[in-house]
Amino acid sequence: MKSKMKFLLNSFAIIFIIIVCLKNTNVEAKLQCKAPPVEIPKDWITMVDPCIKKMQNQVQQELIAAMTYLAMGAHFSKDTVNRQGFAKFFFDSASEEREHAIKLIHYLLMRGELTSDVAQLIRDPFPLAESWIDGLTALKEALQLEANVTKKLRDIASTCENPGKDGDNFNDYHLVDWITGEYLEEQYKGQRQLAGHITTLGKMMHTNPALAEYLYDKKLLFGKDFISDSVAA
Amino acid sequence: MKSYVKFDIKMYSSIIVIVLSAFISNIFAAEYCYSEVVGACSPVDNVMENCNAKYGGIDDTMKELQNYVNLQINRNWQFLLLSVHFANYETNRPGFTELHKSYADTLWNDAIDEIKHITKRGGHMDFFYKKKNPNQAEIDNYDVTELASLGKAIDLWKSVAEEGHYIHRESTRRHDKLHDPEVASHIENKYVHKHADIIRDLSGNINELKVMLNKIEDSNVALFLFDNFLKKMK
Ligand SMILES: [Fe+2]
Repeated sequence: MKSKMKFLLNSFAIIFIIIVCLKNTNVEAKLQCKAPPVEIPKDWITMVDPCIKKMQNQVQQELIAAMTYLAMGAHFSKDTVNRQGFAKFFFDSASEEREHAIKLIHYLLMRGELTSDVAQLIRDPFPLAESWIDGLTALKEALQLEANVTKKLRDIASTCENPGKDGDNFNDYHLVDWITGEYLEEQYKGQRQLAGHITTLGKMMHTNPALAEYLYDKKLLFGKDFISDSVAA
Repeated sequence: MKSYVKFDIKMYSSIIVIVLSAFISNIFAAEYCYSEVVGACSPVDNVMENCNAKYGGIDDTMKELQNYVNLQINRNWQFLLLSVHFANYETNRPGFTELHKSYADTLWNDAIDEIKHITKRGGHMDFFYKKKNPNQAEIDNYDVTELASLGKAIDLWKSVAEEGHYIHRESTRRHDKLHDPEVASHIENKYVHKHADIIRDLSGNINELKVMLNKIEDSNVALFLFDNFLKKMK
């Protein structure tokens, strides 16, 4: 009786193993989805670690700025706030910051980076705040945010120019030139624009803040010709 | 003695009437914007609680809409990373790069429009509210093959579409607190047809590519061709 049981169990085990083997060969006979790697000379990949890290980090910084502008846009489009001009300005800025992040990514790709671990480039960015007392406060915070970004960009330039021993003292001329010549230029122009808005609106806020913000909002909505457009029409 | 009692009753009843009418007028005052606006014009400052764009089932649907925006933003980053993966010199598939980038851009722009929709309905955007959804498609590894990226893409888009269906279902329920025709119609017009098109395209692409990858010798040329036509189709 016992030996019969043993025989049954054994045959079950054998059948099980056969099934598993069949299944596995099935899996292996599936599609050829991955191409074999190609030997590529690596001499052209010259960026060094300290510099790469700073550049990758900057992507997240730009996206935090994008999300903060997005939150500003959301705040000023509320029906109880209703500053459509401010909302438009900040929504546009949000998409611009997202483009800045993409621009940094493209640079890294051009230099042969980002071949692995792309997940850590974007780590679920959140806005720095969700509501503001008034338009002037939001503009001032935006300027502070931009100044902070500028500081980090300068830090990239100095690290990539002089990465130290960890980076074999590799002076990355092109990257530094690109950051200072192209990237920082846009940054300084943006800061100047914000500062101008703050000055003009801030002056008017002294006497009648509600009226000042109302008018400035319309200016942001209709552009520089807002008075001739709306009054003459 | 009798007249004294009578006077007393008169006095009490008038007090009750005054108190009641004050109470009733308060109730009505609290329900309408008009009385608040009129009140605001009198010397005493008045809080306006009803002068907003909220009506219908929006209060209860608001959280769902906020969650929807956060899902769109999250999916936008995921598609952006998929597109980055196919843009490095080792993968080098411009067609796949553009495809995933176009999905990221669509979701980002949809998120901005959905925020505008939320504020149109008197709401605010809460960027920190995310519904816990363990069954939802996520990406933990972006180092995927061309075919696998299309599989991921269809999963991600389906989850966005299904979430839209959920909001639609809630807002079309015959329920005082949920029924909201504007939200239902907005979901229909803005999303459901677009999502159906995208999911159909992806499914077509997946099945087309799958057949071509059957032959090991030809699969790499097939991927090259597919990538180039993918770019042309966009
Ligand atoms: Fe920026």
